[in-house]
Amino acid sequence: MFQGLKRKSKQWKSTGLKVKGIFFYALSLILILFGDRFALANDDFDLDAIEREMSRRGEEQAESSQPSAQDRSLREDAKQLTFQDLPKLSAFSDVTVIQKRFMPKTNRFQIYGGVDFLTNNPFFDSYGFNGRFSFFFTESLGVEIGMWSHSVSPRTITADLQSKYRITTKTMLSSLSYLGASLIYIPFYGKMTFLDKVIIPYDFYFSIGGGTTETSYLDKTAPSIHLGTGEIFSITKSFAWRWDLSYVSYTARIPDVKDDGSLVDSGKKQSLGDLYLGIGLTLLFPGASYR
Amino acid sequence: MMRKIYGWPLICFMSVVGMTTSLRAEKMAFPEEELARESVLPKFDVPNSVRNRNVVVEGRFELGGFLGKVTDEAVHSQDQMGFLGTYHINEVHGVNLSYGLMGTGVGDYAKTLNSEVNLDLSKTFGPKSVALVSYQLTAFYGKLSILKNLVVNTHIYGLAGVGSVMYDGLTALAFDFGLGQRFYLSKNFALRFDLKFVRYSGPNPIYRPSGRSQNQSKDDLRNGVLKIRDFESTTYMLTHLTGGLVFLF
Repeated sequence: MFQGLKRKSKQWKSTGLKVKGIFFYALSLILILFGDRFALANDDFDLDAIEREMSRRGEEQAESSQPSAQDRSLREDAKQLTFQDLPKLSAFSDVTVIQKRFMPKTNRFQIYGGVDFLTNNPFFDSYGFNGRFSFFFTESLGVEIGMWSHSVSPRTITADLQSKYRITTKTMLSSLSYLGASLIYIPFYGKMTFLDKVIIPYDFYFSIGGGTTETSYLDKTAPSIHLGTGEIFSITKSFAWRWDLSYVSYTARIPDVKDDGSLVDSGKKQSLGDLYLGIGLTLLFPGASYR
Repeated sequence: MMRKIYGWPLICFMSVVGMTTSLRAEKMAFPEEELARESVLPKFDVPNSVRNRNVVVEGRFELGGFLGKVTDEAVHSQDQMGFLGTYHINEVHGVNLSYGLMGTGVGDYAKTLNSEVNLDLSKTFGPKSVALVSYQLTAFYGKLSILKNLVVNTHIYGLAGVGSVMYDGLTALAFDFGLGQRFYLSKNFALRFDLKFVRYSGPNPIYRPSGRSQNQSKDDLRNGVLKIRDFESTTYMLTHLTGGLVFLF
């Protein structure tokens, strides 16, 4: 009897172990198959969405898996292209040429200081200081306040007219200073390499505005129009050097010379245009905030 | 034995795998101020910033014409037109030849002097032509984007050289230096703009030798009996601003 019970108990033990084993294997299988339902019970809808997306992509891939005759010929041509042929490839219809500007200007101020000289006055040499203060609304648009002040000296021909024929140069107007505001438009942005060693980003700008010119006689505030162009070469994200070509057109009263050599207002006005070429350094602040 | 191998460890492992496969990647957002602001580039011992140039000028010739102005010419015509040629030894060095014909007649300033003070300078001697041979250093090569729709290649170069300014009966030695920029419309055509300063000695049109009165000198000028050697020499430093079209081959 006891042996029968022993056999029974052994049988029960083995059966119990079997049951345990089955139970745990079943549990693991359940966890494997349906574990996500316990872990992320709220994302059931995502699986359906993913399945729909996968089926859609599968259909698209099936459609595109068969290359057209044109694609086959293009692939054959592409195999024969080398690196040297890159510039010959046809232009894309929608390409952003230069994506990121090295020196951003949006919502930044700019201070410029430099020297310039007058290039188109045959009777006077004019050199001086040029200072500007700008603010850029966007990468392409900004406003600027400019001021330049010059010292004027007569050229050889002017001294000869005075000494040989007593033709006074006092009646010849020259610009002493200019103060005005202008709108800056930067349509061009590019990059250059300097002797193949370093890449320098730069901007090409145009400016138009107005102000007042102080002349050598009478008029301290002759109304003026200013047109300009130039390039800004970036050294760092906040520091650059800049050259500028500015044309200032103004109308001012011209004097007349009395017998005693003194000047009087002749009652006439003269329109003049001065072309300045300048170069200087520019600083942008606050610091660039884009990554 | 099999249970020891495929028992609890296996079950736990399978359970963990089953649960982890269902985990989703969370979208992590970082504040803007924590993101990197600076971009860095590797620094090479032998930098070579241009791998493939769209416009290659090495070994090529450049021919073209230009129009221009001598912006600070006081008496004679400021107009200038001519042609130029350049041989590019390599991408940096080149030799430039330019020949410019000056306009005839006098400028507006001389006409004003004649009308206001009776000083007629129309028969004085002005430059007829300017020929210069300059060394060209192309320091910058790059491209610029025009309104994000067009890319134009460009060169910026410096010029320095010697030449001559030709008058009627006189050739004066000249030196020049300046800057220029080329904008390439294609690989073979470019717009070229030069700003040059030319220094030379030539006849001074404000004629009045010692011993002659103002009226006598004015009469001599008006009658046109003077030779170029009658004028004293003076030094000019004039600004030549030119623009033109060039062809590379």
